Amino acid sequence: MNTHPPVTATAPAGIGKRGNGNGPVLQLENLTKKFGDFTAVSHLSLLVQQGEVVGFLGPNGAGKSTTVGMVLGLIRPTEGSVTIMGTELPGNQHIVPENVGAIIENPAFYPYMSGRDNLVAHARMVGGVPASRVDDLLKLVNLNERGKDKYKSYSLGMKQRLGIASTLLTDPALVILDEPTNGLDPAGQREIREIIPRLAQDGHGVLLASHMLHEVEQVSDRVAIVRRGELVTEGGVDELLKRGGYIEVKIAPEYMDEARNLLHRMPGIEQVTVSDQLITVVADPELGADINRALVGAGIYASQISPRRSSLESLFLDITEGSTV
Amino acid sequence: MFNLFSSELFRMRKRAQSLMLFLIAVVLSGLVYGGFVIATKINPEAEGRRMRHAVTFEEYAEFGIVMSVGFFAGIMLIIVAAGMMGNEFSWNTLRPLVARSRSRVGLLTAKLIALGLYSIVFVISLALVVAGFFFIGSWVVGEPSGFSISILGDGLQSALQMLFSNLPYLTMAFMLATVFKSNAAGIAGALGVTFIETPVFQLLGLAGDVFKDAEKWGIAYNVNKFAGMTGEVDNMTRSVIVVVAYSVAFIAVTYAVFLRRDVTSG
Repeated sequence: MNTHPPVTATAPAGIGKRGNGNGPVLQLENLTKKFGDFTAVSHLSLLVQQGEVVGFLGPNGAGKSTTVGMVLGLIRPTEGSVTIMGTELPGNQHIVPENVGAIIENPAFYPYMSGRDNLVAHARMVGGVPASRVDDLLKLVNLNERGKDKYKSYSLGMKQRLGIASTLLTDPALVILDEPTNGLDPAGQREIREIIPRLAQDGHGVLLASHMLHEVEQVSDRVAIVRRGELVTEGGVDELLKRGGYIEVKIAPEYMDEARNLLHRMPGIEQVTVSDQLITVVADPELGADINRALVGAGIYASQISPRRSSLESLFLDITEGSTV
Repeated sequence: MFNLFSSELFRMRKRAQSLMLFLIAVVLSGLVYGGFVIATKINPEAEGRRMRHAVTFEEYAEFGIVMSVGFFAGIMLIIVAAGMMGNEFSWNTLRPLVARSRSRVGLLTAKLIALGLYSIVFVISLALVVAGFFFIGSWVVGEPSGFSISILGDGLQSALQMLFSNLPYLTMAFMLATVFKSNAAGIAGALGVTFIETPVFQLLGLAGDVFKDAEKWGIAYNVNKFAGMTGEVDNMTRSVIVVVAYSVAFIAVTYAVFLRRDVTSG
């Protein structure tokens, strides 16, 4: 039984921006940023819909943080557009504090104030956030007992949790989390991973920039992978994992050649390789039954057919050519 | 912008430095003034008699305000002005601050208004405390005078004039901290100019009259003329214009740099 409270159960009237439209909460079109001759982001297009978590993956220097900076109006695009809740940046900077909550790389707060006072200061910046909202959010991220302690005394995990609380102050349509579990111990990572899907369930669109691949795999509905500023692939997590999937077929040696020729001719099979008694077929892992049927039809009986799904990590490393993450 | 201003004031109120710098200015003013009072008590001769008059409540607006507001408050407010932007960079809080702001113009304006308000409260409070020092000191040196609203009023007016004369240095500290993304750059730059501008012009003056004329368009020359209230009326007007022109120019540079810059750090 899920005992977690909904993350925005106590959202105050008048400041929640979720669920006021069916369009995407974030739309990037042809977004490009050049720093002199260096192109940090190149013709990037991406959608984040309401109620979904989009994992934004890429090696260091791939342009993730620059993209996030452009979404938040901190960095001016050289080309292309950022549209938040149907309104285009720049020139409409006001839509950012109204609709977006973000942790940018590491959460940054004023060290001389308590965690609670930091949230109050952020709430005052945007206005219209009742004091009770601050206390509710502290409770949500399990900081209610340490809320009055100085921020500088917080552990990294507590700082990250305070960062997540601050993103939810205005109940924004879009939540951007840039490496939210960076530096956390396993328990802290799990806490954050539990919160992220609940944000989407509550109607927020979530853009999760991370290099923690298994984390993205666990919590994301869709994944976009960038390399050297360019979007190299995008899709649902299941779809991407299938794309990198394969099937292992174990067959007696005397039937190897016949089976290989048969499988070569089957639709949906990209590649067939043979080694010892094992045929490896690069295809959607769900084709296993079709392969079995075809082999049996030809009088070949496999002793084992094993669908293998790729991990997001192997897919990511294939796509990014082993770049350091 | 009201929201940003409200948040700025909240953060200033919560920061120990806001009160600490004021208390340091009070203590330093007390130490200097106390030194004069003790010296006056110890030395009853001619020098002591002149000093005795200087430390009385009647001289509060002249000596007391120049010492406390003109010098100590000037330094403390430069630290605050530089820190308002410089610390945002060093704490990495500028990015969330910009992301939370409806406009960068509003953000900078809220900070400048908060700085102005804090400075006014700072110098008026300091002027009142120093008035208390002088009132008590007059009794200590044996020249008691009755409390005078008129003298206190003159002192407060003088304090605000002194704050105005510090305006170019405060805006310069704010500008340097913004341009160089550094608290230290703002403090060092503004204090450096405060202390070296006059000697530099004097040295250059030895090289030719053109530098003597150039000094009249510098900050220190006009600030001193205004703060000392000794110039002719037309010269005073020119000094006010020069002080305002420098301040406006520094603020304009701050806006120009901050509005155009990508906030990739801080």
